[in-house]
Amino acid sequence: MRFSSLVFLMGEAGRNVRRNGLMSLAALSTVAIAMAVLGGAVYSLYRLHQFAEAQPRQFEIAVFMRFGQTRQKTEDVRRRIQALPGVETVALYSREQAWKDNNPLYGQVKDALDDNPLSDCLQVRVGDPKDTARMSALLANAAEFPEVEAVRDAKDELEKLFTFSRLVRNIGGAAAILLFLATALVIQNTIRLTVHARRKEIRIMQLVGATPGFIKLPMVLEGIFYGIAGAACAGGLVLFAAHQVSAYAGQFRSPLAADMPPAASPLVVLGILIAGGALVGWTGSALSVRRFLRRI
Amino acid sequence: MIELQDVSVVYSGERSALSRVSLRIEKGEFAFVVGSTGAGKSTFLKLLYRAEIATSGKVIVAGQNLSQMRRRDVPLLRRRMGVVFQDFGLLPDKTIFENVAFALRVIGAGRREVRKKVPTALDAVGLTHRCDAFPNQISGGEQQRVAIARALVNEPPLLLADEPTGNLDPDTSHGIAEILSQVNLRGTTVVVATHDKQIVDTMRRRVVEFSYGRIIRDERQGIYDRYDREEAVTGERR
Repeated sequence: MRFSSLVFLMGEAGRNVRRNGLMSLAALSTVAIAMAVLGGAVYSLYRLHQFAEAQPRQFEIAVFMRFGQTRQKTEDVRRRIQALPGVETVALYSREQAWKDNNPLYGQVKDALDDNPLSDCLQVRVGDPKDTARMSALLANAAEFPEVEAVRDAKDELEKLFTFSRLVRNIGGAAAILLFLATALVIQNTIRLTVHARRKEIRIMQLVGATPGFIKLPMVLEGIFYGIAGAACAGGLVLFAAHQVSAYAGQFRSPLAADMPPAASPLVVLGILIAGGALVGWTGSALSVRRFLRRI
Repeated sequence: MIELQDVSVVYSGERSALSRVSLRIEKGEFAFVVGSTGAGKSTFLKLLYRAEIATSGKVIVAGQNLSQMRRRDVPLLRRRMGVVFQDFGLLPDKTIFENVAFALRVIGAGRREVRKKVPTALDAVGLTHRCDAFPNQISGGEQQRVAIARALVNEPPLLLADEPTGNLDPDTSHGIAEILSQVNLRGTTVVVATHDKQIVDTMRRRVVEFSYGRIIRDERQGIYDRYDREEAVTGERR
Protein backbone atom coordinates (compact mmCIF):
# COMPACT_ATOMS: atom_id res chain seq x y z
CA MET A 1 0.00 0.00 0.00
CA ARG A 2 1.17 3.49 -0.82
CA PHE A 3 2.16 5.79 2.00
CA SER A 4 -0.30 8.43 0.81
CA SER A 5 -3.09 5.84 0.94
CA LEU A 6 -2.19 5.02 4.52
CA VAL A 7 -2.28 8.71 5.40
CA PHE A 8 -5.66 8.97 3.68
CA LEU A 9 -7.04 5.98 5.60
CA MET A 10 -5.73 7.32 8.91
CA GLY A 11 -7.43 10.61 8.10
CA GLU A 12 -10.66 8.71 7.49
CA ALA A 13 -10.27 6.93 10.83
CA GLY A 14 -9.71 10.26 12.60
CA ARG A 15 -12.77 11.67 10.88
CA ASN A 16 -14.81 8.71 12.18
CA VAL A 17 -13.65 9.31 15.72
CA ARG A 18 -14.63 12.98 15.48
CA ARG A 19 -17.92 12.27 13.78
CA ASN A 20 -18.93 9.66 16.33
CA GLY A 21 -18.49 12.45 18.88
CA LEU A 22 -20.10 11.50 22.18
CA MET A 23 -20.10 7.85 21.20
CA SER A 24 -16.33 8.01 20.74
CA LEU A 25 -16.07 9.55 24.19
CA ALA A 26 -18.30 6.82 25.60
CA ALA A 27 -16.22 4.12 23.93
CA LEU A 28 -12.99 5.71 25.04
CA SER A 29 -14.06 6.10 28.66
CA THR A 30 -15.52 2.59 28.77
CA VAL A 31 -12.30 1.21 27.39
CA ALA A 32 -10.34 3.34 29.85
CA ILE A 33 -12.37 2.07 32.80
CA ALA A 34 -12.27 -1.52 31.64
CA MET A 35 -8.55 -1.28 30.95
CA ALA A 36 -7.98 0.39 34.33
CA VAL A 37 -9.81 -2.45 36.06
CA LEU A 38 -8.04 -4.98 33.88
CA GLY A 39 -4.67 -3.29 34.26
CA GLY A 40 -5.16 -2.69 37.97
CA ALA A 41 -6.22 -6.28 38.53
CA VAL A 42 -3.39 -7.70 36.46
CA TYR A 43 -0.88 -5.35 38.03
CA SER A 44 -1.86 -6.10 41.61
CA LEU A 45 -2.10 -9.79 40.86
CA TYR A 46 1.32 -9.58 39.28
CA ARG A 47 2.67 -7.89 42.39
CA LEU A 48 0.97 -10.44 44.60
CA HIS A 49 2.33 -13.25 42.50
CA GLN A 50 5.79 -11.69 42.58
CA PHE A 51 5.52 -11.41 46.35
CA ALA A 52 4.33 -14.97 46.72
CA GLU A 53 7.12 -16.18 44.46
CA ALA A 54 9.68 -14.22 46.43
CA GLN A 55 8.60 -15.69 49.76
CA PRO A 56 10.10 -19.15 49.43
CA ARG A 57 13.49 -17.53 48.90
CA GLN A 58 13.28 -16.43 52.48
CA PHE A 59 13.03 -20.02 53.58
CA GLU A 60 16.20 -21.77 54.25
CA ILE A 61 17.13 -25.28 54.99
CA ALA A 62 18.68 -25.50 58.41
CA VAL A 63 21.34 -28.19 58.61
CA PHE A 64 22.36 -29.01 62.19
CA MET A 65 25.77 -30.54 62.78
CA ARG A 66 26.41 -33.29 65.26
CA PHE A 67 27.25 -31.97 68.71
CA GLY A 68 30.87 -31.57 69.53
CA GLN A 69 32.09 -31.50 65.95
CA THR A 70 35.07 -29.32 65.18
CA ARG A 71 34.60 -26.06 63.27
CA GLN A 72 37.00 -27.48 60.72
CA LYS A 73 34.59 -30.30 59.91
CA THR A 74 31.62 -27.91 59.72
CA GLU A 75 33.55 -25.74 57.26
CA ASP A 76 34.31 -28.81 55.25
CA VAL A 77 30.62 -29.78 55.06
CA ARG A 78 29.77 -26.18 54.15
CA ARG A 79 32.11 -26.36 51.14
CA ARG A 80 30.67 -29.69 50.05
CA ILE A 81 27.09 -28.39 50.20
CA GLN A 82 28.09 -25.22 48.40
CA ALA A 83 29.44 -27.37 45.56
CA LEU A 84 26.08 -29.14 45.09
CA PRO A 85 24.13 -28.06 42.00
CA GLY A 86 21.14 -25.81 42.75
CA VAL A 87 22.57 -24.41 45.96
CA GLU A 88 22.68 -20.64 46.08
CA THR A 89 24.31 -19.81 49.42
CA VAL A 90 25.41 -21.65 52.50
CA ALA A 91 25.97 -19.59 55.62
CA LEU A 92 27.39 -20.71 58.92
CA TYR A 93 25.31 -19.94 61.98
CA SER A 94 27.86 -20.74 64.64
CA ARG A 95 26.97 -22.35 67.92
CA GLU A 96 28.44 -19.35 69.76
CA GLN A 97 26.23 -16.93 67.85
CA ALA A 98 23.19 -19.13 68.38
CA TRP A 99 23.94 -19.33 72.05
CA LYS A 100 24.21 -15.57 72.20
CA ASP A 101 20.98 -15.02 70.22
CA ASN A 102 18.84 -17.56 72.00
CA ASN A 103 19.91 -17.34 75.62
CA PRO A 104 18.15 -14.45 77.36
CA LEU A 105 20.44 -14.83 80.31
CA TYR A 106 23.59 -14.55 78.22
CA GLY A 107 26.15 -12.41 79.89
CA GLN A 108 24.45 -12.61 83.22
CA VAL A 109 24.72 -16.27 83.92
CA LYS A 110 27.53 -16.91 81.58
CA ASP A 111 29.74 -18.11 84.27
CA ALA A 112 27.06 -20.21 85.86
CA LEU A 113 26.24 -22.05 82.64
CA ASP A 114 29.43 -22.01 80.77
CA ASP A 115 28.85 -25.06 78.71
CA ASN A 116 27.18 -24.21 75.36
CA PRO A 117 24.73 -27.07 74.60
CA LEU A 118 24.15 -26.04 70.98
CA SER A 119 25.75 -27.24 67.78
CA ASP A 120 26.76 -25.47 64.60
CA CYS A 121 24.13 -24.88 61.99
CA LEU A 122 24.44 -24.30 58.23
CA GLN A 123 21.75 -22.21 56.55
CA VAL A 124 21.29 -23.38 52.97
CA ARG A 125 19.42 -21.41 50.36
CA VAL A 126 18.50 -23.09 47.08
CA GLY A 127 18.14 -21.27 43.75
CA ASP A 128 14.73 -22.68 42.97
CA PRO A 129 12.45 -22.92 46.02
CA LYS A 130 10.75 -25.95 44.49
CA ASP A 131 14.07 -27.77 44.97
CA THR A 132 13.84 -27.38 48.73
CA ALA A 133 12.30 -30.77 49.47
CA ARG A 134 14.73 -32.64 47.25
CA MET A 135 17.69 -30.79 48.70
CA SER A 136 16.73 -31.38 52.30
CA ALA A 137 16.25 -35.08 51.62
CA LEU A 138 19.73 -35.19 50.13
CA LEU A 139 21.28 -33.38 53.08
CA ALA A 140 19.51 -35.64 55.56
CA ASN A 141 21.04 -38.68 53.90
CA ALA A 142 23.41 -40.07 56.57
CA ALA A 143 25.51 -41.92 54.03
CA GLU A 144 26.32 -38.70 52.19
CA PHE A 145 26.65 -36.43 55.18
CA PRO A 146 27.45 -38.40 58.32
CA GLU A 147 28.36 -35.17 60.12
CA VAL A 148 24.77 -33.95 59.92
CA GLU A 149 22.51 -34.48 62.89
CA ALA A 150 19.21 -33.10 61.58
CA VAL A 151 17.71 -31.11 58.68
CA ARG A 152 14.75 -28.77 58.93
CA ASP A 153 12.96 -27.08 56.06
CA ALA A 154 9.72 -25.14 55.77
CA LYS A 155 8.01 -27.74 53.62
CA ASP A 156 4.45 -27.11 54.75
CA GLU A 157 4.73 -23.34 54.62
CA LEU A 158 6.19 -23.56 51.15
CA GLU A 159 3.38 -25.83 50.02
CA LYS A 160 0.81 -23.29 51.21
CA LEU A 161 2.58 -20.47 49.48
CA PHE A 162 2.75 -22.34 46.22
CA THR A 163 -0.97 -23.11 46.41
CA PHE A 164 -1.71 -19.47 47.11
CA SER A 165 0.46 -18.32 44.27
CA ARG A 166 -1.24 -20.76 41.87
CA LEU A 167 -4.64 -19.54 43.04
CA VAL A 168 -3.67 -15.93 42.44
CA ARG A 169 -2.48 -16.80 38.97
CA ASN A 170 -5.59 -18.76 38.00
CA ILE A 171 -8.18 -16.35 39.36
CA GLY A 172 -6.24 -13.41 38.00
CA GLY A 173 -5.95 -15.05 34.60
CA ALA A 174 -9.66 -15.82 34.43
CA ALA A 175 -10.57 -12.27 35.52
CA ALA A 176 -8.18 -10.84 32.94
CA ILE A 177 -9.71 -12.92 30.14
CA LEU A 178 -13.25 -11.90 31.10
CA LEU A 179 -12.34 -8.22 31.29
CA PHE A 180 -10.52 -8.47 27.98
CA LEU A 181 -13.64 -9.94 26.37
CA ALA A 182 -15.88 -7.29 27.91
CA THR A 183 -13.62 -4.52 26.62
CA ALA A 184 -13.49 -6.07 23.17
CA LEU A 185 -17.29 -6.19 23.11
CA VAL A 186 -17.58 -2.50 24.02
CA ILE A 187 -15.25 -1.61 21.18
CA GLN A 188 -17.08 -3.95 18.86
CA ASN A 189 -20.30 -2.12 19.62
CA THR A 190 -18.76 1.27 18.96
CA ILE A 191 -17.31 0.16 15.67
CA ARG A 192 -20.69 -1.27 14.76
CA LEU A 193 -22.06 2.26 15.15
CA THR A 194 -19.29 3.50 12.89
CA VAL A 195 -20.15 0.90 10.30
CA HIS A 196 -23.76 2.00 10.56
CA ALA A 197 -22.92 5.70 10.33
CA ARG A 198 -20.65 5.06 7.37
CA ARG A 199 -22.86 2.66 5.46
CA LYS A 200 -23.27 5.17 2.66
CA GLU A 201 -19.52 5.63 2.37
CA ILE A 202 -18.97 1.90 2.56
CA ARG A 203 -21.52 1.32 -0.19
CA ILE A 204 -19.75 3.84 -2.39
CA MET A 205 -16.40 2.25 -1.61
CA GLN A 206 -17.75 -1.15 -2.55
CA LEU A 207 -19.25 0.21 -5.76
CA VAL A 208 -16.13 1.92 -6.98
CA GLY A 209 -14.13 -1.23 -6.35
CA ALA A 210 -12.33 -0.65 -3.06
CA THR A 211 -10.96 -3.91 -1.72
CA PRO A 212 -12.44 -5.21 1.56
CA GLY A 213 -9.13 -4.56 3.28
CA PHE A 214 -9.18 -0.93 2.23
CA ILE A 215 -12.76 -0.56 3.47
CA LYS A 216 -12.01 -2.21 6.80
CA LEU A 217 -8.72 -0.54 7.63
CA PRO A 218 -10.04 2.86 8.82
CA MET A 219 -12.47 1.11 11.14
CA VAL A 220 -9.83 -1.24 12.47
CA LEU A 221 -7.56 1.78 13.02
CA GLU A 222 -10.41 3.49 14.83
CA GLY A 223 -10.80 0.50 17.15
CA ILE A 224 -7.07 0.40 17.80
CA PHE A 225 -7.18 4.12 18.57
CA TYR A 226 -9.90 3.59 21.21
CA GLY A 227 -7.89 0.74 22.66
CA ILE A 228 -4.64 2.69 22.84
CA ALA A 229 -6.15 5.95 24.08
CA GLY A 230 -8.23 4.12 26.67
CA ALA A 231 -5.23 2.10 27.77
CA ALA A 232 -3.09 5.23 28.10
CA CYS A 233 -5.71 6.80 30.40
CA ALA A 234 -5.97 3.52 32.28
CA GLY A 235 -2.18 3.32 32.56
CA GLY A 236 -2.11 6.74 34.22
CA LEU A 237 -4.82 5.66 36.64
CA VAL A 238 -3.16 2.38 37.51
CA LEU A 239 0.25 3.96 38.07
CA PHE A 240 -1.28 6.70 40.18
CA ALA A 241 -3.18 4.16 42.26
CA ALA A 242 -0.10 1.96 42.63
CA HIS A 243 1.91 4.96 43.79
CA GLN A 244 -0.73 5.92 46.34
CA VAL A 245 -1.05 2.37 47.64
CA SER A 246 2.67 1.87 48.03
CA ALA A 247 3.02 5.28 49.73
CA TYR A 248 0.28 4.20 52.13
CA ALA A 249 1.77 0.77 52.67
CA GLY A 250 5.16 2.37 53.26
CA GLN A 251 3.86 3.89 56.48
CA PHE A 252 3.75 0.49 58.09
CA ARG A 253 6.88 -1.20 59.25
CA SER A 254 5.90 -4.66 58.27
CA PRO A 255 8.55 -7.32 57.89
CA LEU A 256 6.66 -8.34 54.75
CA ALA A 257 7.12 -4.93 53.18
CA ALA A 258 10.84 -5.44 53.23
CA ASP A 259 10.44 -8.64 51.28
CA MET A 260 8.48 -6.92 48.52
CA PRO A 261 10.42 -7.09 45.28
CA PRO A 262 10.87 -3.77 43.47
CA ALA A 263 7.90 -2.63 41.36
CA ALA A 264 7.96 -2.86 37.58
CA SER A 265 9.01 0.37 35.88
CA PRO A 266 6.08 2.72 35.02
CA LEU A 267 7.13 2.69 31.37
CA VAL A 268 6.89 -1.09 31.24
CA VAL A 269 3.43 -1.03 32.84
CA LEU A 270 2.30 1.67 30.41
CA GLY A 271 3.80 -0.16 27.47
CA ILE A 272 2.11 -3.44 28.35
CA LEU A 273 -1.23 -1.72 28.93
CA ILE A 274 -1.02 0.11 25.61
CA ALA A 275 -0.07 -3.04 23.76
CA GLY A 276 -3.01 -4.76 25.47
CA GLY A 277 -5.26 -1.85 24.51
CA ALA A 278 -4.18 -2.03 20.89
CA LEU A 279 -4.84 -5.76 20.88
CA VAL A 280 -8.26 -5.39 22.49
CA GLY A 281 -9.16 -2.56 20.07
CA TRP A 282 -8.08 -4.59 17.11
CA THR A 283 -10.01 -7.64 18.30
CA GLY A 284 -13.18 -5.64 18.91
CA SER A 285 -13.12 -3.79 15.63
CA ALA A 286 -12.15 -6.84 13.61
CA LEU A 287 -15.10 -8.71 15.12
CA SER A 288 -17.44 -5.87 14.30
CA VAL A 289 -16.18 -5.28 10.79
CA ARG A 290 -16.43 -8.96 10.01
CA ARG A 291 -19.94 -9.27 11.34
CA PHE A 292 -21.52 -6.09 10.12
CA LEU A 293 -19.79 -5.35 6.88
CA ARG A 294 -21.37 -8.35 5.24
CA ARG A 295 -24.84 -6.96 5.81
CA ILE A 296 -24.37 -3.81 3.78
CA MET B 1 -19.62 -5.90 -23.55
CA ILE B 2 -22.61 -7.35 -21.75
CA GLU B 3 -24.23 -10.69 -22.38
CA LEU B 4 -26.94 -12.49 -20.48
CA GLN B 5 -27.69 -16.07 -21.41
CA ASP B 6 -30.92 -17.53 -20.08
CA VAL B 7 -30.54 -15.77 -16.76
CA SER B 8 -32.94 -16.25 -13.86
CA VAL B 9 -32.81 -14.66 -10.43
CA VAL B 10 -35.02 -16.08 -7.72
CA TYR B 11 -35.29 -14.42 -4.33
CA SER B 12 -35.73 -16.63 -1.29
CA GLY B 13 -37.13 -19.57 -3.14
CA GLU B 14 -40.35 -18.21 -4.55
CA ARG B 15 -40.59 -14.82 -6.24
CA SER B 16 -38.52 -14.70 -9.36
CA ALA B 17 -37.08 -11.27 -10.12
CA LEU B 18 -35.81 -12.26 -13.54
CA SER B 19 -36.79 -15.32 -15.48
CA ARG B 20 -34.86 -16.69 -18.43
CA VAL B 21 -33.54 -13.38 -19.71
CA SER B 22 -31.15 -13.33 -22.66
CA LEU B 23 -29.69 -10.09 -23.90
CA ARG B 24 -26.61 -8.64 -25.58
CA ILE B 25 -25.37 -5.08 -25.33
CA GLU B 26 -22.42 -4.29 -27.56
CA LYS B 27 -19.41 -2.21 -26.70
CA GLY B 28 -20.10 1.49 -27.16
CA GLU B 29 -23.86 1.05 -27.14
CA PHE B 30 -26.38 3.23 -25.30
CA ALA B 31 -29.37 1.35 -23.93
CA PHE B 32 -32.38 2.31 -21.85
CA VAL B 33 -33.95 -0.30 -19.63
CA VAL B 34 -37.61 0.48 -18.92
CA GLY B 35 -40.52 -1.16 -17.18
CA SER B 36 -42.77 -0.61 -14.20
CA THR B 37 -41.53 -0.85 -10.63
CA GLY B 38 -40.62 -4.42 -9.77
CA ALA B 39 -40.29 -5.45 -13.39
CA GLY B 40 -36.65 -6.43 -12.91
CA LYS B 41 -34.68 -3.36 -14.08
CA SER B 42 -32.73 -2.90 -10.88
CA THR B 43 -32.07 -6.61 -10.55
CA PHE B 44 -30.71 -6.56 -14.08
CA LEU B 45 -28.31 -3.73 -13.23
CA LYS B 46 -27.31 -5.39 -9.96
CA LEU B 47 -26.37 -8.49 -11.90
CA LEU B 48 -24.03 -6.38 -14.00
CA TYR B 49 -22.14 -4.86 -11.06
CA ARG B 50 -22.46 -8.13 -9.21
CA ALA B 51 -24.48 -7.01 -6.26
CA GLU B 52 -26.70 -9.90 -7.27
CA ILE B 53 -25.74 -13.33 -8.55
CA ALA B 54 -27.82 -15.17 -11.14
CA THR B 55 -29.64 -18.21 -9.79
CA SER B 56 -29.17 -19.82 -13.17
CA GLY B 57 -27.77 -18.81 -16.54
CA LYS B 58 -24.66 -16.87 -17.47
CA VAL B 59 -23.88 -13.19 -16.98
CA ILE B 60 -20.87 -12.06 -18.96
CA VAL B 61 -19.44 -8.56 -18.56
CA ALA B 62 -16.29 -7.54 -20.39
CA GLY B 63 -15.55 -11.16 -21.18
CA GLN B 64 -15.87 -12.37 -17.60
CA ASN B 65 -18.48 -14.79 -16.36
CA LEU B 66 -19.74 -13.09 -13.21
CA SER B 67 -21.46 -16.20 -11.85
CA GLN B 68 -18.11 -17.89 -11.46
CA MET B 69 -16.21 -14.85 -10.31
CA ARG B 70 -14.44 -15.12 -6.96
CA ARG B 71 -15.45 -12.64 -4.28
CA ARG B 72 -12.02 -11.09 -4.18
CA ASP B 73 -12.14 -10.31 -7.90
CA VAL B 74 -15.34 -8.27 -7.59
CA PRO B 75 -13.53 -5.02 -6.64
CA LEU B 76 -11.43 -5.31 -9.79
CA LEU B 77 -14.56 -5.76 -11.91
CA ARG B 78 -16.14 -2.68 -10.36
CA ARG B 79 -13.11 -0.55 -11.10
CA ARG B 80 -13.90 -1.05 -14.74
CA MET B 81 -17.44 0.31 -14.46
CA GLY B 82 -19.16 3.37 -13.06
CA VAL B 83 -22.50 3.19 -11.25
CA VAL B 84 -24.91 6.09 -10.72
CA PHE B 85 -28.05 6.04 -8.56
CA GLN B 86 -31.21 8.03 -8.11
CA ASP B 87 -30.14 9.21 -4.66
CA PHE B 88 -26.73 10.50 -5.92
CA GLY B 89 -24.93 8.93 -2.98
CA LEU B 90 -22.63 11.87 -2.28
CA LEU B 91 -20.88 12.17 1.05
CA PRO B 92 -22.23 15.28 2.78
CA ASP B 93 -19.07 16.09 4.72
CA LYS B 94 -16.80 16.10 1.70
CA THR B 95 -16.55 18.79 -0.98
CA ILE B 96 -17.41 18.09 -4.60
CA PHE B 97 -13.74 17.65 -5.39
CA GLU B 98 -13.24 15.30 -2.42
CA ASN B 99 -16.32 13.29 -3.33
CA VAL B 100 -14.93 12.59 -6.78
CA ALA B 101 -11.42 12.09 -5.42
CA PHE B 102 -12.80 9.61 -2.85
CA ALA B 103 -13.54 7.11 -5.61
CA LEU B 104 -9.88 7.25 -6.61
CA ARG B 105 -8.41 7.31 -3.12
CA VAL B 106 -10.25 4.20 -1.99
CA ILE B 107 -8.83 2.18 -4.83
CA GLY B 108 -5.37 3.23 -3.76
CA ALA B 109 -4.66 6.08 -6.18
CA GLY B 110 -1.96 8.54 -5.17
CA ARG B 111 -2.25 12.31 -4.87
CA ARG B 112 -0.78 13.00 -8.28
CA GLU B 113 -3.32 10.80 -10.01
CA VAL B 114 -6.14 12.45 -8.06
CA ARG B 115 -4.93 15.92 -9.04
CA LYS B 116 -4.84 14.89 -12.67
CA LYS B 117 -8.07 12.93 -13.04
CA VAL B 118 -10.57 14.70 -10.80
CA PRO B 119 -10.54 18.05 -12.69
CA THR B 120 -10.94 16.18 -15.98
CA ALA B 121 -13.98 14.33 -14.67
CA LEU B 122 -15.52 17.49 -13.20
CA ASP B 123 -14.88 19.28 -16.47
CA ALA B 124 -16.75 16.54 -18.35
CA VAL B 125 -19.89 17.28 -16.34
CA GLY B 126 -19.34 21.07 -16.36
CA LEU B 127 -18.77 21.50 -12.63
CA THR B 128 -15.17 22.65 -12.38
CA HIS B 129 -16.27 25.96 -10.86
CA ARG B 130 -18.15 24.27 -7.98
CA CYS B 131 -15.39 21.96 -6.85
CA ASP B 132 -15.06 23.55 -3.37
CA ALA B 133 -18.79 23.47 -2.62
CA PHE B 134 -20.40 20.88 -0.39
CA PRO B 135 -23.25 18.71 -1.72
CA ASN B 136 -25.91 20.61 0.25
CA GLN B 137 -24.81 23.86 -1.41
CA ILE B 138 -25.59 22.70 -4.93
CA SER B 139 -28.77 21.71 -6.77
CA GLY B 140 -30.05 18.17 -7.30
CA GLY B 141 -29.04 18.22 -10.95
CA GLU B 142 -25.53 19.33 -10.02
CA GLN B 143 -25.33 16.62 -7.39
CA GLN B 144 -26.21 14.01 -9.96
CA ARG B 145 -23.52 15.43 -12.25
CA VAL B 146 -21.03 15.04 -9.43
CA ALA B 147 -22.15 11.43 -9.06
CA ILE B 148 -21.57 10.91 -12.77
CA ALA B 149 -18.14 12.53 -12.53
CA ARG B 150 -17.33 10.17 -9.67
CA ALA B 151 -18.50 7.20 -11.72
CA LEU B 152 -16.35 8.32 -14.64
CA VAL B 153 -13.22 9.49 -12.86
CA ASN B 154 -11.62 6.08 -13.16
CA GLU B 155 -12.31 6.14 -16.92
CA PRO B 156 -14.39 2.95 -16.97
CA PRO B 157 -15.54 1.48 -20.29
CA LEU B 158 -19.02 0.88 -18.85
CA LEU B 159 -21.44 3.23 -17.09
CA LEU B 160 -24.55 1.90 -15.33
CA ALA B 161 -27.24 4.31 -14.15
CA ASP B 162 -30.24 3.32 -12.05
CA GLU B 163 -32.96 5.98 -12.31
CA PRO B 164 -30.44 8.81 -12.64
CA THR B 165 -33.16 11.41 -13.20
CA GLY B 166 -35.69 10.00 -10.74
CA ASN B 167 -35.35 12.94 -8.35
CA LEU B 168 -34.95 15.70 -10.93
CA ASP B 169 -37.24 18.09 -12.78
CA PRO B 170 -37.64 17.68 -16.58
CA ASP B 171 -35.17 20.39 -17.59
CA THR B 172 -32.47 19.13 -15.27
CA SER B 173 -33.15 15.57 -16.42
CA HIS B 174 -32.55 16.71 -19.94
CA GLY B 175 -29.15 18.05 -18.91
CA ILE B 176 -28.24 14.74 -17.30
CA ALA B 177 -29.35 12.88 -20.44
CA GLU B 178 -27.12 15.17 -22.47
CA ILE B 179 -24.14 14.34 -20.31
CA LEU B 180 -24.82 10.60 -20.53
CA SER B 181 -25.06 10.98 -24.28
CA GLN B 182 -21.69 12.75 -24.43
CA VAL B 183 -20.13 10.08 -22.27
CA ASN B 184 -21.41 7.51 -24.73
CA LEU B 185 -20.00 9.49 -27.66
CA ARG B 186 -16.56 9.13 -26.12
CA GLY B 187 -16.90 5.38 -26.41
CA THR B 188 -18.27 4.38 -23.02
CA THR B 189 -21.03 1.79 -23.03
CA VAL B 190 -24.01 3.28 -21.16
CA VAL B 191 -26.94 1.38 -19.66
CA VAL B 192 -29.68 3.47 -18.04
CA ALA B 193 -32.64 2.06 -16.13
CA THR B 194 -35.33 4.70 -16.06
CA HIS B 195 -38.95 5.72 -15.67
CA ASP B 196 -38.30 9.01 -17.41
CA LYS B 197 -40.48 8.90 -20.49
CA GLN B 198 -39.32 12.28 -21.69
CA ILE B 199 -35.63 11.50 -21.98
CA VAL B 200 -36.26 8.08 -23.53
CA ASP B 201 -38.58 9.55 -26.10
CA THR B 202 -36.26 12.44 -26.92
CA MET B 203 -33.07 10.43 -27.27
CA ARG B 204 -34.42 7.58 -29.36
CA ARG B 205 -31.87 5.03 -28.31
CA ARG B 206 -32.16 1.32 -27.82
CA VAL B 207 -34.98 0.46 -25.39
CA VAL B 208 -35.25 -2.83 -23.53
CA GLU B 209 -38.52 -3.25 -21.65
CA PHE B 210 -38.91 -5.57 -18.69
CA SER B 211 -42.20 -6.83 -17.32
CA TYR B 212 -42.57 -9.35 -14.53
CA GLY B 213 -38.94 -10.34 -14.87
CA ARG B 214 -38.98 -10.95 -18.60
CA ILE B 215 -37.90 -8.89 -21.58
CA ILE B 216 -41.04 -8.06 -23.53
CA ARG B 217 -39.55 -5.56 -25.97
CA ASP B 218 -36.15 -4.69 -27.39
CA GLU B 219 -36.10 -1.92 -29.96
CA ARG B 220 -33.17 -0.29 -31.66
CA GLN B 221 -34.47 3.28 -31.64
CA GLY B 222 -37.31 2.87 -29.23
CA ILE B 223 -39.51 5.06 -27.15
CA TYR B 224 -40.79 4.66 -23.60
CA ASP B 225 -44.26 3.21 -24.24
CA ARG B 226 -44.78 0.50 -26.71
CA TYR B 227 -48.42 1.42 -27.44
CA ASP B 228 -48.15 5.07 -28.40
CA ARG B 229 -45.38 4.74 -30.89
CA GLU B 230 -47.21 6.65 -33.57
CA GLU B 231 -48.27 9.38 -31.20
CA ALA B 232 -44.70 9.81 -30.09
CA VAL B 233 -43.47 10.02 -33.63
CA THR B 234 -46.08 12.58 -34.58
CA GLY B 235 -45.63 14.36 -31.28
CA GLU B 236 -49.35 14.48 -30.50
CA ARG B 237 -49.04 13.15 -27.00
CA ARG B 238 -46.55 14.05 -24.34
